[in-house]
Amino acid sequence: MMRENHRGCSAYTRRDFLGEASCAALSGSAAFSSILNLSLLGDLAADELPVGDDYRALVCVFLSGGHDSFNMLVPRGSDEYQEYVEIRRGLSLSRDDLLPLSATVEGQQELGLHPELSKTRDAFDSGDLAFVANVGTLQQPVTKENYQLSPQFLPDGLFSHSDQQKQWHTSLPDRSSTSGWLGRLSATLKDLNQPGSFASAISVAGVNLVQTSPGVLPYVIGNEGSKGLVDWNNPNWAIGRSVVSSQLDLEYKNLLQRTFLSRKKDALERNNVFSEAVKSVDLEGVQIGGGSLGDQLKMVFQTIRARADLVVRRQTFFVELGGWDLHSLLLEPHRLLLRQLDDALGDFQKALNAAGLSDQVTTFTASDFGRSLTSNGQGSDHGWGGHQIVVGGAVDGGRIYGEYPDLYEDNPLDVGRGRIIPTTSVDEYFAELACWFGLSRQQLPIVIPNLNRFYDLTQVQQPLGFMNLDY
Amino acid sequence: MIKNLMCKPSKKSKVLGFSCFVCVATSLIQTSFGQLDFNDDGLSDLWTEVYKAHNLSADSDADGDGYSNQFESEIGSDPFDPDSYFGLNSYRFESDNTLLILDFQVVKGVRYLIESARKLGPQAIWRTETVINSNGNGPLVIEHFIDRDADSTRFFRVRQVIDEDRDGLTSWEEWQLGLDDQDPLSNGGESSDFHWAVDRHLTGLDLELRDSVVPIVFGLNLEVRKPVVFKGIARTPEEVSRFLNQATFGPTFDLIQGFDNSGESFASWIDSQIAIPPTLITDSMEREVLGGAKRNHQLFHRGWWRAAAEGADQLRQRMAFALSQILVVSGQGSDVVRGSPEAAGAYYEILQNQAFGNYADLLEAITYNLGMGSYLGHLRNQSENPELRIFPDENYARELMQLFSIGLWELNEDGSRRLDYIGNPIPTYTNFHITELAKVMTGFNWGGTNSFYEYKNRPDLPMTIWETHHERGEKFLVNGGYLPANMNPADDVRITIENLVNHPSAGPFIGRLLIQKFVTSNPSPAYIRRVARAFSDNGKGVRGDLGAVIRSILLDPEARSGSISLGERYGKMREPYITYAHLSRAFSSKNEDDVFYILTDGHLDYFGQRPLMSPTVFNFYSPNYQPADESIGGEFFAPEFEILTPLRSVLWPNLLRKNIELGFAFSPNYPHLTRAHDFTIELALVNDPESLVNRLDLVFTYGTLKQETRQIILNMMNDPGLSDEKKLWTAIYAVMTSPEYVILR
Repeated sequence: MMRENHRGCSAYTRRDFLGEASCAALSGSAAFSSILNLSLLGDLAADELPVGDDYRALVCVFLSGGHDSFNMLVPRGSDEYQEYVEIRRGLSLSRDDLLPLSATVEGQQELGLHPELSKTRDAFDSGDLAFVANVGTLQQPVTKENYQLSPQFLPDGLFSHSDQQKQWHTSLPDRSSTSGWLGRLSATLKDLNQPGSFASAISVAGVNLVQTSPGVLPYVIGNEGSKGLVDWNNPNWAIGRSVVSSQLDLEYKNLLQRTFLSRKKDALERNNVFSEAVKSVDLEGVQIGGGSLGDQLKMVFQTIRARADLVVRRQTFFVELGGWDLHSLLLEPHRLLLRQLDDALGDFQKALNAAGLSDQVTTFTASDFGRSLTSNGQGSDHGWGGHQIVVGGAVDGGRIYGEYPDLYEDNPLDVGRGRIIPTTSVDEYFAELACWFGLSRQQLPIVIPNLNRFYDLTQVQQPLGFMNLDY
Repeated sequence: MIKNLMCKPSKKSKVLGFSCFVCVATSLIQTSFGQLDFNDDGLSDLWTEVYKAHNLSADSDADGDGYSNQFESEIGSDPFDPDSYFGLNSYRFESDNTLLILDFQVVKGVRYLIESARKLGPQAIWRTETVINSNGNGPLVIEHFIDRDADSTRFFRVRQVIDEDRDGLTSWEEWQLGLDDQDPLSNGGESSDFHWAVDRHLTGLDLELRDSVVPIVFGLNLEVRKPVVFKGIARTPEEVSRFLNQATFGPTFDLIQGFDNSGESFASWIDSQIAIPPTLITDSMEREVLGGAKRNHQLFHRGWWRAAAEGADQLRQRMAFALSQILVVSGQGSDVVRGSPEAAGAYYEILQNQAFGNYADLLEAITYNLGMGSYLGHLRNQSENPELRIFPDENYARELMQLFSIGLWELNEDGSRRLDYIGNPIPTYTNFHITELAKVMTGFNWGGTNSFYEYKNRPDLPMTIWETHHERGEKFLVNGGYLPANMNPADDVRITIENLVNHPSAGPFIGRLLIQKFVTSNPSPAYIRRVARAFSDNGKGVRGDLGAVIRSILLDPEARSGSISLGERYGKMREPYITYAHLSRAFSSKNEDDVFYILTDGHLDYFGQRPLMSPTVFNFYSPNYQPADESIGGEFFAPEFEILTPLRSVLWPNLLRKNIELGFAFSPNYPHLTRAHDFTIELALVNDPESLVNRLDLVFTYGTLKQETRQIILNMMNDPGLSDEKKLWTAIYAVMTSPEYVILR
């Protein structure tokens, strides 16, 4: 396949120079409000659209409820494993059951995977999958001392589902925001797609904040795709169609009435386009296990295959698997969830490989938070930092990025009950993905406004390095 | 607002060290709270009537006396008379500073307080010295004896009381209406004086005012005084329908007509709704069992439908459904709730029973509920065991504060966030408080057991709290609350809940959520404040009375005024599930077996709603969801839109259409289980399309159907190729999927 020399975050283009000029005026706290003026930047890019099969998709797999990922990626070194058992007690997995991971980096500790994750392990071994250790929401880097003495440095509503979920969506833990980072990413790169294309953000798991920003609202479909009004093309219901069509043309002053009407109009128009586009995709032989998550990813796969008809070059997807908030009983339900995740991610990646799309699609996990290492009896409580999975042909896989923390009780990252201060911010995690997606260095602060608190934007290195930007 | 009009020192007293100052100030509560302002012009409607001030605007000053019309409206003075105001004309001290002679301008019918303090500023403690009830307009001279108990400086002020009982009517208005500004229930009913006045006005009753005019007849002054009257508005059937669309699962034509003909007022309807015995879900479920229902999860939903569709206590049913979406328990996340209809029923029944009860009692009851314990994790939650690295589960503790009582941020009475001295919002609690509260919620086990560890399959019973596994140590609660060590576990729980309900944020927090469920997604701060005040005091000194809260929500001018409802941001999207229930009610759907075998399994997909099946504890949709469809200035909330995905905006009408045409069909093979609509009257009207549309417009859209929408339906009905049934179906479908219906305003 022909590769575009279109390295995100490093290549300087004419657009970047222009972009820089417009960004300069948006420095500091003003940068965020500038999101409303994205069209200023977008207009400049129109003459630079790359050619060929330039397509990239980011698939966000949200594990809602707060994933206990310290039982996904577990220390295997004898001392570290002892510390793990010491703090997790009845929640610990047996060392013998863990699937060993070969650490490829000098000095990194020995880790193992939950026994259900065999497909994940295979992808890791083949270099398509990486873990990012101890990621979480941060306003700025913090220490335990900050935690105790300077609550103003901490994310708002730490340990609360709704707040932390929202912040994983917005990447803005220090303020309330109505736009998410994928939404801002789509808005910033909107000129790579058809003007006004609804297909740039597709959700198979409902309305969400992460894909939303002014001008971008995810197109929400079901596992079976999109739907329209029954009998729309049936001559027996021609009168119904005519009544509905006339009603859609009416005008309303009330904002709620207007919003209601426009949603319905959009739904009908988009359904026409979308169902037409995906209809022709041949899914024969495509098997994606993993229950409802697999069904969602199969729909994602089908949509990606229809990219030419949807005329879209940059797409974000949102899928979700719930049930991770395991307060009272962890081990067995967690095992079943991981099996689902393993099947769904593994089979999805296999399908992409078979279709030759692997290099163009990157799938990553996110979750409300990690969980407490100590137990509630047989379950665990809300925590902070946790580990995430990134998978795709463009991933520099077979490695663990970030720092795997110490687990012993009261260590310098433990703020109590084994809640671990993240050592990598969601900002760095997302920025790395955004770079691969095609965002220039100058555009990074628009999408991830707090990034400079963790990452020197002038440096040559990528934020975390897990994406291979040559792809 | 404190308005200092004058403040000058007296001459120093001859007695060493003693001096007096006098200040005159009026104490005014924030604009447009303390008055009856039905047309939302910022001026009291009664004041407008008395002074014939119909053409005045709030911020101008008709008589040029330096006081805005709004100010004059709040204190009750004459806007056309520059000598009618509240202010100090002169004062002097006599008899060696032992006598203060005040000459000030007063308004008739209100109370003035002469108060003194020993110092000024934030530390001032003002003591009432004298209370004066004014009987007329104009200057008043008061001689006030100063009790010189010690040698010190003394400051005086005169204050006019604006709304002493905080019921929403100004002192002047209460005098005009013959009410008492020291008693919020001086009208003798269950509704506050403010809501009593609103309700009478809306029922077409005149409010007679004490002030009177002397009509000049043929140039002769006949000395016959005629009382001023604030005329009630003739209540229309459309107004009745609008009220019932807000307060029930949707009215029928007969319900609207019966209500309208009876002349019953809105307030008295609410009173009787509160009084009639609850239709309890467990009884509805048993009725379904008699009709052949199995005891599985579906039974709960059948019981729910029976209660919602047929319960005479519609307001209670609506309140229970609203509460179930604030105090969320879900079968998605609790096997007990999903697996056992008894557990789901026991939870829902608490909401029905306590719908108009006390909020603290309600929170206490749900805390012991098994479904809640299993959903949010305090079932089998035990005290800290550092040895085993076991700590109390924090889930219920967190949600009890964040979602069920006080929210994340400290609120002012009007629902806005309180700010600290550098302008940042103030969190109501920290993680420390969660950890502490989690300790309170320990020791719960299944009911009917003999120990903390015993299991007994009694999903209908509340949980029992066991001292053996209850955290014994002291606990620190929000707002300085404290539980000493070794308290009785039940007392720990009760005091904790009272601590939360007594938190100043609880009223505005819960009040706003309930307003959003019944009336409008974007209530004004003044509306939230009035409801928060009803929460804080039902008029009898009781806090947390949900009956008082629902009265104040539904009888508020912002809920009832036609002019306010025309606002661009006014109203709310009806909950999809409620529109579905409305369809079942509107045409009295029935089946032979009289059962509610309505298949609800797919409802989450179609509507995004299904009772006690929320995907998360944050309900089907967030109260703070803001649609980003078009750029809209400022905050614009539209909670229910969060579930209206493009997909659902077609699935919902698709299902609605199916149920309009087929009734609530279980399967074509079981007609005795299908709830068929009774379209007798409507089908007879198909040949009189105008009347049919009028009827649908009254029941569903309370007379607000757009002219164009009517025309579209009338055109359709002119089509000679359509059967009567198809015309009717299409007409109902067009109305029920129109923005006029879906957006309740």
